[in-house]
Amino acid sequence: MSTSVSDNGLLEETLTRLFSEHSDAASRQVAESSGWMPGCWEAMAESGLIWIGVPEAVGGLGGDLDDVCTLIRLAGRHAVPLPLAECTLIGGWLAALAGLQLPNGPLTVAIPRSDDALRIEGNRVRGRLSRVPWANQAAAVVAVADGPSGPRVVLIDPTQVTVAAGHNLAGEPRDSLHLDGITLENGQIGIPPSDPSAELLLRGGLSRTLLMAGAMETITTLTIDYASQRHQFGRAIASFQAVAQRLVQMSAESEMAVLAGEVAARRFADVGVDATFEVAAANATVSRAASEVAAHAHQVHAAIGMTQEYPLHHFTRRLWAWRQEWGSERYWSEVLGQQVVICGADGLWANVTTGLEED
Amino acid sequence: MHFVPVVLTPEEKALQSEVRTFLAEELPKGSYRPALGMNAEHSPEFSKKLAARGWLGMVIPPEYGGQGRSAVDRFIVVEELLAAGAPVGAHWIADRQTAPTLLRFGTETQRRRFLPAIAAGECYFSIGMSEPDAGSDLASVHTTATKVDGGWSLSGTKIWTTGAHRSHFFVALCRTSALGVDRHQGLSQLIVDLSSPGIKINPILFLDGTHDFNEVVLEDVFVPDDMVLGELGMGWYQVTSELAYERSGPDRFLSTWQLLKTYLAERSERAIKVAEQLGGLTARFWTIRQLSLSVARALQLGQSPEVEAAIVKDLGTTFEQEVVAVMQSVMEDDPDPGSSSLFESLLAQAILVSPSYTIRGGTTEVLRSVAAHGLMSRK
Ligand SMILES: Cc1cc2nc3c(=O)[nH]c(=O)nc-3n(C[C@H](O)[C@H](O)[C@H](O)COP(=O)(O)OP(=O)(O)OC[C@H]3O[C@@H](n4cnc5c(N)ncnc54)[C@H](O)[C@@H]3O)c2cc1C
Repeated sequence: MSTSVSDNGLLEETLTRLFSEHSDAASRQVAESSGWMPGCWEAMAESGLIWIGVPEAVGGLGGDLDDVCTLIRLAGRHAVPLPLAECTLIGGWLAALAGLQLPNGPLTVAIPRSDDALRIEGNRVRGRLSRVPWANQAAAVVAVADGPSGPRVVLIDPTQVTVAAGHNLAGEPRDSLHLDGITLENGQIGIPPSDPSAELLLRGGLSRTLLMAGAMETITTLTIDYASQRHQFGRAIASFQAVAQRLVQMSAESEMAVLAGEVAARRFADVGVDATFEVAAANATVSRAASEVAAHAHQVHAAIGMTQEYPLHHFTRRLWAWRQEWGSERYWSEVLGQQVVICGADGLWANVTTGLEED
Repeated sequence: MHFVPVVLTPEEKALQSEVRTFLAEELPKGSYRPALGMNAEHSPEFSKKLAARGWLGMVIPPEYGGQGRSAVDRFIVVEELLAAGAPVGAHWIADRQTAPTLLRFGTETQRRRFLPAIAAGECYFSIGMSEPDAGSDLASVHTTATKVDGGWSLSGTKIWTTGAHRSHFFVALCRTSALGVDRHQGLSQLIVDLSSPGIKINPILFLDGTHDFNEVVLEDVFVPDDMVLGELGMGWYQVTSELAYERSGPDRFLSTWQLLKTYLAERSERAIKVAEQLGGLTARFWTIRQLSLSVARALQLGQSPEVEAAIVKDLGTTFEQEVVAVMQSVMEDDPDPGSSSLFESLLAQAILVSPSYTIRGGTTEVLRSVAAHGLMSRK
């Protein structure tokens, strides 16, 4: 089964080498206590790959959406504890959209929560942003603020605001920012051509879809390997029917997730916000697969999988976190369901049968 | 297989309300962090308070310092404790597992020595069954006891030993004679003082960074003859009946009860929007509790409802995980483990630890094959 987001094999090779070297299990454990993975960040920054897919005009590396999606899926595969999706697919895009220059350091973007809101008046912003990945390490947080003359994209310097530290289930920083009416410079405010909110959500949802798909690939490999090595009752546990069935179920879910992510990413690259159907369908599918894959993996590993020393949790804890970030399974199912209802009975089949088309 | 509906007697109802009153006074809301079921805080102080009420070692006969109460009485006390998320960690295994094993198989000396201390909430036990190469396949343990003057010299490595760093003793399953044709022969259980020379207890951190598990390395540890639990060579038989005991209690379906409770406490306004999900979970809680209670009554009546117990464990532990999934979907956002909301932080903890519910005490797969044998042999 071939499962690459795109044909850019060289990029995949480069990133795989870089992540294998810098985001191994031991470094991830260290990063969990320190809140940052400096070696991997520096390697990404030095190679310029951190700004892949972001237009050169604002200081990005250029490249297309396929490249970005490759990066994000590989970040999932290696459980890289850095705001890579934030710098590229989500935040890098948002900054570039409004013509804002990229910061000289990590860029991040808040994961929306229902009680968040940012208001801008003149050049003063106030409000709250929750669940900002690595806000404490970031050079800038990019966000959309509502103002009297429409939405504005703003770049916030986290050192200027109150930051309350928090974490997700994988121990990755998810900080909350309280903006008590701070004044922004000109270069920190940009006017987007149109309201970016809908596309922002879609990009966020797509990022988590791809991250989860990548993590599931690793979990599946790890679990199949373990089940063929671990012996009980004189046999590899993979030879017990109950275990073998789980391995098949988890492989099916994981392959399904990879494919769904790939199709959604390509559709999104082709038609942008018009790919809401596909992104929603992929996220709902992948989030559900994530729970199943994590459950199968833990059950097959049994006690050893519950330990900090064994690396399975680097991936399963991220699945549990990512499936809730940028819209849960329920959220995306509802988005999809609403579209289905609006299109009505006659539109349903045509919607389900959309797929990729030749360029 | 049959589950008989249980009617609680007036005395049993009175006990239930007595425990509720005690807990309301002892653990007022907000004064403690509720536990997720039996994986609870180690509090000798709390254990002793329960003992003072006669709520530890309830099924132990009075001549061994217990209360001589029934399995249902114990059920009533234990379900209240677990539902409250009370700090039952210290005495848990001694009360649930070691005491009944000692009663059934222990020598008179052992009963006199340990049972009163367990009932007093002063003596804590761990379970020394699993080894690195012997998990589901427990009969393949390598830990070996060799005969020495006045006792046994025990060597080997036990793993996943919950609470060994806090317990006084553990019951180690080991080989006391060489592996023969029948590998279930030649196994024995030894009661081992965890402070003995030659024992090293190494912590194994859980994936959420907490410390419950240990590796227990035994190097020529001397165990006196009178600490052979029950009969020499009968270890396999004893262990399998011990596992049957620990199966179907309220600890197999209440681990995630606090999620439902704290959600209702903190988000009463939103709750009505997810009434269907909450109703679905409540229906299962209600039903599975009835099943578990029915097994307790059968035990009280001297029956051996082994298949029923296995089925309750399977249903209960699977359900505990379903509660986590449903509450996660109800919450929508991602929970922060360090959140100031009790619901959110308990949900985060539950997401991380709940995979172990269908592993500890024997995995679902192995449990089902035991149950299948039982079902078929009753035909
Ligand atoms: C939270 C927790 C607390 C624990 N506390 C203790 C304790 O205090 N003392 C103690 O001694 N142990 C303890 N254990 C260990 C527990 O008893 C073992 O984890 C369990 O028996 C499974 O063994 P294993 O982890 O080696 O998995 P394995 O036996 O290696 O099993 C791996 C997988 O293979 C499957 N499998 C194995 N054999 C078969 C088969 N024949 N048919 C079908 N499937 C099979 C299993 O179901 C599982 O999915 C604890 C475990 C946990 C998770």
